[in-house]
Amino acid sequence: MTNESVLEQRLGRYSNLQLCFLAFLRVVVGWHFLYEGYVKIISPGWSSAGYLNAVPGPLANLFKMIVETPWMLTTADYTMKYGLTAIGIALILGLFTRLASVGAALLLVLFYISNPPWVGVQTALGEGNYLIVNKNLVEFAAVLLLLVFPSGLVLGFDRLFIKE
Amino acid sequence: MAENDKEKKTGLGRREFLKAAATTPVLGAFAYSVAKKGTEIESSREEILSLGKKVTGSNPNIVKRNYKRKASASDKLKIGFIGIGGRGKFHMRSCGFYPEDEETPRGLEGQEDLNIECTAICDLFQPNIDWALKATRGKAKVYRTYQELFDQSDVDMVLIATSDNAHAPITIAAAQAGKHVYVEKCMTRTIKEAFAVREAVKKNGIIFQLGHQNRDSNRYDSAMEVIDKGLLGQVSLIQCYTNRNTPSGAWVYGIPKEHGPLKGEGGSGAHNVDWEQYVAFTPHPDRPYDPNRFFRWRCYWDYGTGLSGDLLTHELDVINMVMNLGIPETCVASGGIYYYKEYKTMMTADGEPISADKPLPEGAVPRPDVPVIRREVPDVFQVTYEWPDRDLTVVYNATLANEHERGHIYMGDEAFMDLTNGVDVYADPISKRYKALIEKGKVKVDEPMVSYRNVAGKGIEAITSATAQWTVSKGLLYTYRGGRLVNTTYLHIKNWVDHIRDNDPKTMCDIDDGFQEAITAHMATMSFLRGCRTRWDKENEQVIFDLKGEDELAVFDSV
Repeated sequence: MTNESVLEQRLGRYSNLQLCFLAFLRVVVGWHFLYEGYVKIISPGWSSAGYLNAVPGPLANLFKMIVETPWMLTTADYTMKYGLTAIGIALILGLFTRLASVGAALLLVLFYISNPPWVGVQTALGEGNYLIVNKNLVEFAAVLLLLVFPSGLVLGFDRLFIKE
Repeated sequence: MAENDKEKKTGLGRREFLKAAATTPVLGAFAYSVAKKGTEIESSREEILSLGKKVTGSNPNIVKRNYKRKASASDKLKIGFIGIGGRGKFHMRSCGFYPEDEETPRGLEGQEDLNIECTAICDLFQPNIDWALKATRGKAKVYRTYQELFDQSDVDMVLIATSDNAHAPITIAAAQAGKHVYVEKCMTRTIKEAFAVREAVKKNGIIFQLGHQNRDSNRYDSAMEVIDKGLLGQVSLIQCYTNRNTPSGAWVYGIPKEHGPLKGEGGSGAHNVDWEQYVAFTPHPDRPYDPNRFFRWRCYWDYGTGLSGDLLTHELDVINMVMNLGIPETCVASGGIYYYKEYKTMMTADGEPISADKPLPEGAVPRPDVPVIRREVPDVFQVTYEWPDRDLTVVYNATLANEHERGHIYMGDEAFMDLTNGVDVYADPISKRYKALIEKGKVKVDEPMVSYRNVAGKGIEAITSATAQWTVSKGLLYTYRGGRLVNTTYLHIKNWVDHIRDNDPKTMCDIDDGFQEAITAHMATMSFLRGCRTRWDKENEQVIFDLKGEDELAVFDSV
């Protein structure tokens, strides 16, 4: 099958509007991750130590342990700075979308459980009112959608690497 | 047909590529937006810093912070530890001396070895000596008295962490024996002792360090820069505080199960406290054994210095360093024992000691070997210091019955600086200097316009938005240097040892700083006890009680 026919098979059943919004979702989530990663890179002396140490709730000690183990902290910082940035660029460009989406989903799970909006937990989240569902969870749901739909194929570089 | 196919393919190829690259301009838009925002913040910061009016480097304490040892550290120096209680053990750990079965102390990784060995230890409580022997792996020699330590041992220097009443006699003896001294705050228990210590240290030329290790927290580099650049305008009021809300915070420490004087009866029947030596340097050397007075010494004027010498000094010493103030001109203090009026020490039903901080388990009973403790020192204490020649007031507020963090704040007419969590400088809403920036929205009044935080990573300086970042509170335990967590006590001891190697007396908290610290603290104690304002008579170098004349009152009275 040609490249074109594979794409037709994968994308054909969706309307243009659906595909458009799918691409929009991918790009917007990508921009969000890219900017989060970017500010951490340019911020001199940035570390996730502050955030990790302030984790409330039942998992506090687990996150504190990361801060106290130098190699774990370095890995965390590296992931936050370059991982977020790479995921962001990948999603915006629609390149290695599946891989980037899995990474994004995992990170969002971590962000969610480190500041869970549950009863009895003192979270550090900013504006808005949240109970069980917060913006991390909503973004996680969005990323799941990116995973089950052919997101990288819609106006994305993954189109060029379709094999059959 | 083949050519058509080829054409079709290349046509598709280009179109396909365009479809694939369709979102690439988004990256361009991102880069543009970020660049625009970046320049906006940058100019604000430059603008702010350029509005500082003063000449930089006018604070001599800044020079001390940039000190680097010149001599080599290849000679092993010998240290003796005198006083190995709670604080003393932390000192030993910070120097790398700790028992094999204990965890490696934090904050020492990647730091230079001090190259010292502990050859002498001295303490009045046998379990402390046992611990110290384990900490030095049996290498140190035990001395019953500090006099013997100075007579017989060949230490180069001593680290003194005894109760406050012994600071002066031991420091003076050390100086006379030519041993360098690191002594814990408060430098002395009384004003007379402060003069005696200063004389002994200077006359004998030893290298002296006072135990204010929070000076080594790198946040004060930024604080001093802010003041030096005059970012705050004229500072008229400085507020500092101590708030705590636990019995151990109020010095009601635990008393071990086995305790008692070496000679005679008392306590639980053990003989592990050299009580006679302990009370020798106090106004009441014939007091009978009292475990409260030994283990909870900070609650009594005979051994401790109350909130002034114990906690106020942490704040005032730092303010002195940052603002280069010296001794205040006047002082008014007041307070009282409003909360910790008395405490009955309890034990479990089977006789195990219970910490005063923990809730009482069922079946807890009062300990027969520990009398009810009634402290002498206040637990709520307020002090107002005036520096009329600097046009400023420093207010210290303390309560040991509340945990709220109130802010270590320098208030200037253009901005204020808050040192509670780092260094945060906020523009004053009525500021003239930052008015233009405020109007343009580059400076927001409810967010720091300049913020320095201790962050794990590179330098000390980071312009941040005021989002939560972890900071090491006040630098009393740790700070960050070169991206690592560092023990500030280690840094302070290292500063002292380096100065010993260089034979340079200008340590981070030298004898002049120490003298100022002691006088400042004791002026408050004198004012509190006498109920009268105290004044530092600079010319005659003495503290006097101060009352203005009747004429001053006439303005009010005559109306």
